[in-house]
Amino acid sequence: MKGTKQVWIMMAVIFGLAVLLPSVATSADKYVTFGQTEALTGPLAGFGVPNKRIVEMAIEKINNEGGFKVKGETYKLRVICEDNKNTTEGAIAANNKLIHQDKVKIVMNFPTTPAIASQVVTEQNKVINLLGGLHHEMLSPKKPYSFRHVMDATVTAPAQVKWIIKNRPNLKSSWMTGADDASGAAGVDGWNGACNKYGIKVLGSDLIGRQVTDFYPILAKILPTNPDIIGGNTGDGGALLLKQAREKGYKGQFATPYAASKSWIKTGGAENLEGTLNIGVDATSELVPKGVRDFHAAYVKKFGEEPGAWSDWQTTPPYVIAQALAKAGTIDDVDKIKAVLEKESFNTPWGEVRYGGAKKFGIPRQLLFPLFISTVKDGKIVVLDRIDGAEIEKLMSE
Amino acid sequence: MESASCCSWSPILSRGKTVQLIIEMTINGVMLATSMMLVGLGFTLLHSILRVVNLAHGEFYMFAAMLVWYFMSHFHLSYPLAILISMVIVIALGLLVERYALRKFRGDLLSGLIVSMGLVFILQQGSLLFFGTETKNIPSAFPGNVAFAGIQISKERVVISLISLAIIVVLIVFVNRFKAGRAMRAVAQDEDAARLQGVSIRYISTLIMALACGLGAIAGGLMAPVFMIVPTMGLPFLLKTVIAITLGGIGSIGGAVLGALIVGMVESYVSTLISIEIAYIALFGILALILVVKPGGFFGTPYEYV
Repeated sequence: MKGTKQVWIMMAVIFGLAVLLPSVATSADKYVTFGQTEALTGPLAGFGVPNKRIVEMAIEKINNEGGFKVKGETYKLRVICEDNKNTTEGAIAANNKLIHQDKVKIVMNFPTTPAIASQVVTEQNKVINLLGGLHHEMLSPKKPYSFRHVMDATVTAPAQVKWIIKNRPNLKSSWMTGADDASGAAGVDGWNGACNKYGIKVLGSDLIGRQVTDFYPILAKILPTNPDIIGGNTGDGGALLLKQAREKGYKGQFATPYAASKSWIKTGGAENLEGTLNIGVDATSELVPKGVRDFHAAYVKKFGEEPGAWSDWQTTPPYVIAQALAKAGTIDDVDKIKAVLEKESFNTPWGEVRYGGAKKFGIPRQLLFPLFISTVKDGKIVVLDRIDGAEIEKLMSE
Repeated sequence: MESASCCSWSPILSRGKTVQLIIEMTINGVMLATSMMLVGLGFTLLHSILRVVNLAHGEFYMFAAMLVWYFMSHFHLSYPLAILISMVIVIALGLLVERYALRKFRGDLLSGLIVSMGLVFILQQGSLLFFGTETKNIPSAFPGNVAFAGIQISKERVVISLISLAIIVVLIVFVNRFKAGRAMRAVAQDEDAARLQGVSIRYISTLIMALACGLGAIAGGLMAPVFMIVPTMGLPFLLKTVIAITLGGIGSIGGAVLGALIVGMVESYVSTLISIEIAYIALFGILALILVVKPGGFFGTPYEYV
C-alpha cells in the first residue's frame, strides 16, 4: 500500500535526522564528560533537583565563555547526571554505570549516604570523586581519590560555636537534633564536639528519621531540660521541629550547624525561626562572593524558585574540574589531575579556593570556603559575620 | 554519638512533674491518633469492601494537601474553599483510579498491590514535576496556643482533632443508620447476597472510593498547615496508618479508631521516654504480638466488617 510505505519512509528519515543531527551539530566541539549523581527522587529530591540544575548552569557558563584549554586544544564540559535515589544501592549502581558504561574519570556525588557509598566504587576504580557529603570519615589517606566541596559540622561547628561563645555568652547549654543518617549524625557530632570543646553544656541530642513530622513527643522530653539552644537539621523536618518547639512555648535560641534556606524558613515560619543561628548564604549580602550571588539570582530568574540549601556550593566542581584538567595538561590521566587538585588553587564563584585539611584528615581533601555566621531576620538569611578558609582550617585542626 | 539515654525521663520525673508529663504524653498520643484516623478509615473501607489494598491511598492525602497549597498560593482562595475544591478533584481522581486501575483487580491482592505501587510513583513524581521541588507550607488557619494543665498545645491541633472526631461520628452514623451505609455493610459481608438483594455493586464501589478519597482529602487539607507538604509525605504516613488499622482489625471503624489510639500512644510515650527509633520498633513488635494472638486484629478477622 503506497500510503503505508510513505509513512515508513518518513519515519525512517525523521529517525535518521534525530540520530545524526545532534552529532553533526557538535562534531566541531570537543567535550570532557564527567558524572554526577544526585537524589533526583525521594525525600531529598528537594536538594538533588536544584543541584542538578545549578551544575548545568555552571557548565553552560563555562562553555559559553569558551571552555578550557588542555595542551592547546579547547574543550567544553558535559555532565551525565544519574539518580542515586539517596540510597547506597542507588549510588553504587549509578557510579558503576557512569564509570564502566560512560567511561568518566571524574564524578560528583551528593548527598551524604550515597556519597559515602560511591567511594567504594570510585576508589576501587581510581576515579576522582568530588563529594558533596557531610561526614568527616569520607576524607582519609585511605581514600586518595576523594575530594570534598562542602564542609561538614566537624569543620564548621568549631568556628560557629566559638563565635557564639564570643558574641552570645548567655547561651550555655544545648540540645541538638539531626536526621538519623550519616549527615545528621555528623552534624550532631560536630556540634556537640565543638560545644564540649568551647564550654557549652550538651544536655542531650537526638537523631530523628526524616519521615517524622510530629515532634511533640520528642519535645516533651527536650523542653523540660530548659536548653539555652535547641538545634535542628536543615532538612525541612528540622524547621518543623523548631516551629513545634515554639508552639509548645519555647522562647530560647535556635541554631543549626548547617545552612538555612528560604524553603527551610518558610517551613518553620519566619516568626518562629527569627534569630536562628546558621551558616546559610544570604544571596544579597555583600559579604557573599559576587559569583555566588550571581548564580543564585540567575537560578531564581530561570526557575522561579530558590535553589536548594546546598546548591550554592555545587557550582564549584565544574570550575574545579575545568581548571584542574587545564593545569594537569590531560583529560584522562587521573593521577596527574589528582596531584593538581591537591596542590593548586582554583577560581570559582566562591573566589579562590584550595583543598586543605591535611592536619585534620591526614590528607588535603577539604575545599575551604568562607564560612558565614548567619541569622534569620524577617524571614531572610542575614549574614552577621564571615570567617575565611584559613581560619576555619586552623580551628578545625586544633 | 550519644542519643538521649533510655533513662532520660528520670530528671523530668525527679522534678515532680510526673502527672504533667503523663497528661502531655497522652494528649500528644491522641493528636497523633486523630491525624491517622481519617486516612485509616478510608483505607480500611476500601480494603474491606472493594477488596483492594490501595497503597496509593496515602498519595491522595498528599495530593489533596498539594492542591490546597496550590489554590491558596496561586489563586488566593480561602482555606475552606481550597479544601472543598481539592476534595472534589481528589474524589474525581479516585473514581478514575477505581474505574480504570483497581476495579479489575478486586480480590487479587498481589496485582492490586503492584498497580497501586505504580500509582504511588506516578502521583509522587507527577507532584514533584507539576508543583516543583520546594517544600510547601500553608499559614496556620488557627494560629496561637491553648494552655491545658500547664501544657501548651497549638490551637490548630486541637481544632483538627475535634473536626476529625466529628467526621468519624458522622461516618459511624452514616454506616449504621442510612440505606447506603447499610448497603456498604451488606457488600462487605457477602457481595453475592447483597447483589441478590438488589444492591448495585458498581454504585457501592463508586460510593466507597468517593468516601475514602474524601476522607483522605480532608485529612490532607487539615494537616497541610500543621506539617510540611512534600511529594513523599503520603507513603510513610500510610504505612503507620496501616499498622493502626491492622491492629484494630481491617474493616472495622471502631477497630481503626482503637488501632490509631494504640499507635499514637505507643509512639508518644516511647518517643518521649526513650527515643523515636525505639518507638517504631515497639510499634512493629506490638503488631506482631497482637497478630500472633489475634490474627484479625482486635475487632476483625480477615474480611470481618462493621
